[in-house]
This record gives sequence, structure tokens and C-alpha cells, in this order.
Amino acid sequence: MGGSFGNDSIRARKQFSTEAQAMNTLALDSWLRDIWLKPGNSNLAPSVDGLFMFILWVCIISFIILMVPMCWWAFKYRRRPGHVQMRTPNHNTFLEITWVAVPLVIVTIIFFWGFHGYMHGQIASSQAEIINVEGKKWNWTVTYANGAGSGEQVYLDAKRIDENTVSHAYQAVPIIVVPEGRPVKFMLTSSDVIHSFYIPDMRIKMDVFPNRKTSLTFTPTNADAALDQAGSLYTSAADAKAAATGKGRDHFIFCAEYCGTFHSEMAAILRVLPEDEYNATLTEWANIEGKYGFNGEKDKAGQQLLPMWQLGQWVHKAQGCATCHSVDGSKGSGPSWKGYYGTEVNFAGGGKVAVGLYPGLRDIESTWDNYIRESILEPAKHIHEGYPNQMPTYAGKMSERQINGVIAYMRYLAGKTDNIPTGGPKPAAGSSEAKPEAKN
Amino acid sequence: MASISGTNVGAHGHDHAHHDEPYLTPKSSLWATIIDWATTIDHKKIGVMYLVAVLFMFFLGGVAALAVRVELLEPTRTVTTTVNGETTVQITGSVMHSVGMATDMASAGDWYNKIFTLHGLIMVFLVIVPSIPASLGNFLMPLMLGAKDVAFPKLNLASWYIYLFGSFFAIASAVVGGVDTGWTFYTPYSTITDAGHWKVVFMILAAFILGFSSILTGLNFIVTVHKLRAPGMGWFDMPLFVWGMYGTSLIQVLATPVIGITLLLLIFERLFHIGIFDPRMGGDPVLFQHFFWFYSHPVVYVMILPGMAIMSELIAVFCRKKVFGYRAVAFSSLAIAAIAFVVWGHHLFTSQGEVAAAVFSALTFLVALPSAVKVFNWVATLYKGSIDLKTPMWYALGFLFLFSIGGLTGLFLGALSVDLHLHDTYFVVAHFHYVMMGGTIIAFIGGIHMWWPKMFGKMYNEFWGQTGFWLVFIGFNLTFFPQFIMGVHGMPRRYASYVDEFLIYHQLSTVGSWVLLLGFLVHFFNFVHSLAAGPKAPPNPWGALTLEWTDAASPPITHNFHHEPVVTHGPYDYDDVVPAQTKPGEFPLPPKAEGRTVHVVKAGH
Repeated sequence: MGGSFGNDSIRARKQFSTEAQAMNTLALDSWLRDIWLKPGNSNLAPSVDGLFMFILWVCIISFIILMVPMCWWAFKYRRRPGHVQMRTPNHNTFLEITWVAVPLVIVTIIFFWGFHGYMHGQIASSQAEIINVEGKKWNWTVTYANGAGSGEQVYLDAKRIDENTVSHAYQAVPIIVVPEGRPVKFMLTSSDVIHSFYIPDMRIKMDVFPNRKTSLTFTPTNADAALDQAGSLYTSAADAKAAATGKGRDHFIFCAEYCGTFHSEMAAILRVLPEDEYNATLTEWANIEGKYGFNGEKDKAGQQLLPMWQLGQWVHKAQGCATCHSVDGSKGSGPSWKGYYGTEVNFAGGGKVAVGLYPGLRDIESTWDNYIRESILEPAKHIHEGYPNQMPTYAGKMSERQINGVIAYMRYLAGKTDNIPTGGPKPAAGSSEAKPEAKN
Repeated sequence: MASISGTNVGAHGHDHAHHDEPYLTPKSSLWATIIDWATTIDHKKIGVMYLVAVLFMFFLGGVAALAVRVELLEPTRTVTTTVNGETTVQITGSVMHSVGMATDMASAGDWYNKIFTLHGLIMVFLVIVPSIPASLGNFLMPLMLGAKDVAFPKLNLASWYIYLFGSFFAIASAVVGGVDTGWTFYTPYSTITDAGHWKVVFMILAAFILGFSSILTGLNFIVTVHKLRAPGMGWFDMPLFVWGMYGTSLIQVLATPVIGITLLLLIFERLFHIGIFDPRMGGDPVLFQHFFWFYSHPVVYVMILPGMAIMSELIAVFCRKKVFGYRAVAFSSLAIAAIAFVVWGHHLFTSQGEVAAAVFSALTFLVALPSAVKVFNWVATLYKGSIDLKTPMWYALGFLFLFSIGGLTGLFLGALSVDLHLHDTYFVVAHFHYVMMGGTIIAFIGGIHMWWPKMFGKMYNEFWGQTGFWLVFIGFNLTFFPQFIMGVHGMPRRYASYVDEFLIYHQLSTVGSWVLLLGFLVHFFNFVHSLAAGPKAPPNPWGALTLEWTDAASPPITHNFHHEPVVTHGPYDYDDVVPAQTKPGEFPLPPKAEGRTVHVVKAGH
């Protein structure tokens, strides 16, 4: 190495190695980030993730500071012939102050950083879109400012295994849409026990109480579905649609506060949509009831409305009936609706739905229609024997039209065709329910 | 400095012949032996009975944990097959579902919920809270202080029977169907679930009764420490184990009455609908959470302080060093006990106002400081020691490893914004298992190994002891470390099923639980073998300097000491005092130094 540019060369090499170290550290940092953190999708995520990585580094460094001497000394000073302990000071004030003072500084930083990020999730912008969510065992019901509820449901983790077989986790869960880039504020309340509204990808959760409203706020980002890691979340038809249009990105919503039997199934999907898509979706959802009608009912343009039972099918998912009442005959914490309508039902504590008791005096239809209506509005009044008394009332939450839809749907599931318009689909009980893909 | 302790100084007048026999000596008949144990006021026998009971309960709680892990091996999925228009629906990946179908339950979730609740309740109220204080604490405290017994021996026996009585209610509740409240009994769920059934009340009653056992044991220990120290033993001559027990007892006496009142209110709420927690009657469910955690957070330190207490002994004895910064370690026990009372709100970051959250977050970080002091001091104690890597020392090193992870991960949870993400996820589950199990239970097992020769007069097999340690250590990390990652990825706790992205972590965790089981089985058979055929233990196999080793036989005689010991050296003065060698070459002398005299303490009689 020539003397004339030796110094430069050394400096260059030094600089290079510092840069290389910095690069290595960054690579290590992003490697750790990939292991620990899923991509965040709200304005809160950078602060939370930044603090998370800071604490992770504090932990790794502290752990090394503790473990390296521990392992080294345990080896070096292991008891063996000829080795005895050596007299050392019993304490060292400087050392002991150091290992109180340094942690104190670090935890102070963590505290303020955490408090700062926390307040961002608590105080909503005055421009925030307010979305009401009610938790009840075991589903989430959403109500938008224009009165719309969730109009679409998906099965979580739906997968096609082969031509004949599909599998999914949980019951169908509602989709809650939010606009990209605009602050949203969820107003949360519960109608029974405590739940907790948790959106991992948004880095926020809040408990949901029966006696008060709580709220959380964030600004969703990244509505671009193309950004989503393929196959990481859903392979449902709904997601395929979103992926095909390039619009909308889905995130899990979980219940994080233990609430009983189906706690782990109390989920929902948060779908981030571009502003225009969001508005269009809300308008569509607000008018959903008007799309369905009884035989012969027509819309303003004179077109036959969609069959009433399909409104019931929508209500079954949108109001969360699906959590407890299956439509394929499988057992849930409430009776399955498949073939249920018109059967003889015994009540807990005596009595029954009087079917065929006085033939001709009371017909099956009015008896059953009334029993369904009563069960929706005053569920505790007559409990189907063998099932727990746990259904919350839907009085004030379900319109008469929706109740009629439910009745039509239950008739449909029992193979009664009189509400099906001529030329409409023939009931093939349950078969369309069997394939999550078919619904969308 | 005169240095021979345990000689005829301060001779005592109670030299009944039968009191000179080892406390384990059986009576003339089996029946007489049973009566003797059932009515004993000997702290050693009570300690051993607690030890057996706690280990049995640990086994029951462990079985529940394994059942939880097996259920989570696969997510529950609904598989729908359509062939020729015929649709069949099948539930897969759920053991509990099959059990649920067989027992006509509405859902697999119900079984799962009962089993994780049982796991939590048993492990908290029947295992960890009484574990170290009631078993090792009872056995060792009077011996370490040079006393004949605890201050109130009859009260001690009463505590034991109260513990049995409370356990009876807990088991009865499980036998008549089990409860699904979670160990935290959060209202209004706990006041509504299984309404009209007594099993939930039984379980709450069990926790209520067990609280009295804790209070009385704590009271007994406090008075014992104040009044029964041997002549010459000042506060700062006490072994750090005793300091840890003292801090623990203070918390038990001050905090447990609060949970007693809370649980009574909960029972009244269920039975008479008084409406203090019920929102429909103007009550507030969050009030319950405040009451509950006002006890249950300090009780976290009731669980960990005894583990720390054992750690200080293990490290000092197996390194032959005075614990570095003895006073700092002693005071940090008290500091932790004090701060423990003002941090309960960090369990409620997602359910309380912003100001409260900020205050509790700040206070929570203060606990990090005395905890850090302890860990740094223990590691510093290794420096230039003579480290004997026997099973108890491996457990001490294991504790430092696992408790460091448990403590450091607390930093994530104390930070408000990060906690909003991590609260009630598997991250929390992993964190408190690293502290409670990686801390307390690991220290407990290490302590059992260390004092096993003293308690039963037999040595355990060192090879199998260390094999057990490595299985437990590896199994523990395999079980719980993946839970940190899935927690950060958003896996909520108390879930009977999950979405596929968490599959790999749950599978690692379940396999880990089997390794853990294997480790505990190795320890179990090692102990059984030791009792049946282990070599006889010398009075002081580790060359320790605390009184239970230097002045008492293995196992100790009924009256503990032939004569009241007089303390002339500190518990960790390994640089100046050397216990008599039990085997040639076993305990090397400290290096000769100018103007220093090395004192020798005789072991046993």
C-alpha cells in the first residue's frame, strides 16, 4: 500500500466499514421488524411500531448485557480443583447508581413516547367519520351515520380444498367499511357483557362496555389491495373481488375481552376503501331493504323486487343471527333454522308451539310467524327446550320488514315456496349456504 | 471475633428425648403417624404437607394447561363437502368439540373456557400464591432465624386447614361442572354466567377462603421475623430469603382483605342482585376491575418476591459469595412491595380514562427499577465466585435468563400506545408466564432441589436433576416464546380457535408443552427415587452458611436445634467463614490474605 494515499485509503475503508455497519444494523432492524410486526395500516402504526422497535432494541441490548457476563462468569469461575472464590467488593455505589439511573432515563423516554402515541388514538379529529358499533354475544353490529348497517359478510379464512370441499374458520362475519385517508371514530357500546374492539393491523383496541360509550380513532391508510400480501389474510371470494378491482383492503377485527362460549368467533372484517367506493357502498347498504319484496311487489321502475327470503338471508348475517343459528342443520347455541319452521317445538318449563293441536282452528303459519316474531322481540318469553336462555332482544334493532324477511327465509329453509316469485330460484335447502364463495 | 456458633452457648432447657429425633421419624403405628401429622404444629411438617398439596395442585393445573394446548394444536374449521348435491358439514381441528358433542354441550368453546379457567384459578390461587411461602417459607424461616417454630404454631396449622377447606370448594366447583368466568371473574360476565347454579359461587368462595390462609400465614411470618430472630441476628444479618418472605407477607396482609371484600360483593351480586357491579342496576363493571386488580396486582409480587428470595440464596450458596449489594437487594424487596400497591391500573389501559392511564403507566415503569437492581446484583454476584453448577444453580441461571425476558417484555406493556395493541393478546400471556412460571416456578423447583437434602435427609440424583432442568428450560422457551410473536401479530388470548396465520406458533407452543411435561416427569421420578433409595444427605451438602445448614441436622430434629444458635457471622460471609468440610476437598478455603483469620463453622450435630 503506497504511503501517499495510505491515509486516505484507511479513512475510506474506515468510512466504508462504518457505513457497512450501519447497513448491517438497518438490515438487522428490518429483519427483526419482519419477524415481529405485520404491516401497520393506520396513522397510529408508525408511532406504535417505532416505539415497539425501540423497546425491542432496549430489550435485546439489556439481555445481552446481562447474559454475556452471566454465561462467561459461570464458565470462567466454575468450581474445579484449585479454583476458589476471590474477595471482591460487596457493593459499588457508582455501579449501583448507574444501573438505576440508566434504566430510569430509558423508561422515561418510553413513557413519554407511549403516552404521545396513545393520545393519538384517543382524541379524534372534529372531521372524523363517526361509526357506531355495538358488541353483543357474539357479533359486532355496525351503524353508519346514514342509517346503513353492514350489508356484506364473509367467512374468515375460507379456502377451497378441492372441487367438492371448502373449509373456513368461524361463522360468517360482517364487513365494516372505512374510508382511506380520512379519520374515523368508532363509538362503541355493548348490550350484554364487556367486549373489546381490536384491530391488530390498525394497532388499536378499546374495551366495549354495557353501561357507557367508549371510542377509538384512527386514520386508515393503504386501501390499495395490490399492496396486500397474497394469501396472507383471506382467500375468500370477497377478497378475490377486492383483489380483482384493486380496491379495498381487508383487516381482522377481533373481540379481545373474554365474553363466553363463542368469544373466539366474535370477529369482523375491516375493509379500507377509497373515498368514492366507500360512499357508494354506504348508499347501497342504506337502501338494502328496498331491494326485496313479497310476490308481486315491484319497484318504481316496475321491476319485480328480489325475493323476500333473500332479505332474511341478508338479515341472518347482518344482524348476527348466524352466530348462533346455523342454516345447514349443524348444532349451535341456538336451534338451526334448516327445516325448523313448522316443526313442533317444546318450551323449557312446559308448553309448545301448538302445531296440529287443533287442526283447522289454528294454522301452522300464523302460529309460527308469531313465534318467530316473539322470539326476535322478546326472546326470553319462550325458550326452546334444551337451549340456553341467552338471546338478546332485537326490539328496536330490526324493522318489521326485516322480521318479515327472516320469516320468509325460515320458510324457505323449510322448503316452503309460497314467497318465492315465479321464475325465482327453487329452494335447495342450505346448498347455497354451503359454499361461501357462492354468496358474493 | 469469636466465630463458633451452635456450641453450648445459650443452652435451652427442653431436652425431651423425642424432640431429638428427626422430625420425619414415624410414630409407633401408621394411625398414630397420621394423627401426628394431621394435628402437628411443627412448621416443618406443615411446610411439607403444603409442599405435597401445592405440587399435586400444580399437577392438576398442568393437566388443564396441556388440555388447552392440545385443543390449540389446530384451529377449529368448518369443512363443507358437496357431492352430488348432498352437503355434509364437519367440524375439524377441535378435541373439545368431540367432548362437547359427547356431553351434549352447545359448543366446543364451553369446554375450552372451563378448562382454561380451571388452569388459571388452580395455578394462581392454589399453586403460585401459597407455593413458596407456605411450603419452603414455613419449613425454612424458623430454621434460618434460629427459632424453634413460627411465632404462632397453632395459627399456622389453622392456615393449612383453611387452605384445604378452600381447595375443597375449588375442587367441588370443578367436579359439579366447572366455571367459565376466567380466573379474573370479570363482571358482568361472572354475575350472569350459569345463573342460578352454585358452582360459580363455590369457586368464588374458594378464592375467598384461600385468602384467609394467605393472610394468616403472612401475619405469622411478620411476627416471626420481628420477634424470633436468634441472638446476635440483626435485621441485616438475616438471609435474603427471609427479607423476601417479609416483603411478601406485608403485601399478603395488606392486600388480601381487599379481594376478600370484592369476592363477597361478587357473591352478593350473584345471589341477591345488589347491583354494585351490574350496569342494568346502575352499577359499574369497571369498579370490579379496580377492586380486583387492587389485590391481584400486588399479588403478582406475592408470587414473584418469594422466587426472588430463593434466587438470592441459590446464587450466594452456589457461588460462595456474599450477594452483591445485599442492602440494595433487601430494600428492593420492600420497594417492590410498596410500588406494587399503586400500579393496578395498568391492567385497565383499555378501559379507563386518559389521565388515569398516564398516571398508572408512569408508576408502572417505576417497578422496573428495583427489579433491575435485583437482576444486576445477582449477575454481579457471580463475578469471581466459585460457581458450582449443580441443579439448583442451573435453575438460578435459568431464572436469570427467563425472568430477564419476562421483566423486559413488561416494558412493551407499560408503554401506553404499544399496550393498546398488545393488551389481552398472547403477548401478555407469554409475558406473565415468563415471570410467573419462568420466575416463580423455576425458582421454586431450584429451591426444592437445594433444600431437598435438608427437608428429607436424602440426596437427589444430580444427572437426572440436570436432565430435568434442560428439558424444562427448553420446553418452557419452546412453549412460550412463540406466544410473544403471535401476540404482536394480533392473536387474542382465551381463544378456543384462531385463523390460520397463527398456526405455526400454536403448534410450536403445543410441542413445547410436551417437552415441559417430560421435564417435570423426570424431576418427579428423580424425587421419588431419592425418597426411596437416595443416599443419605450430610447436614450441609452445599457448604452454606445460613443456620438451617450450619446448625441443624438433615433432616432437622423436631425442635430444630439442640441449643439456641447464636449468630456471629453474616449469612454470606464466605470470604471470612468456611463451613466444616463434609467431604475432603469439597469446599476450598478462601485465599489467604494479610491480617485475616478464617473461621470455621461446624455443620450439624
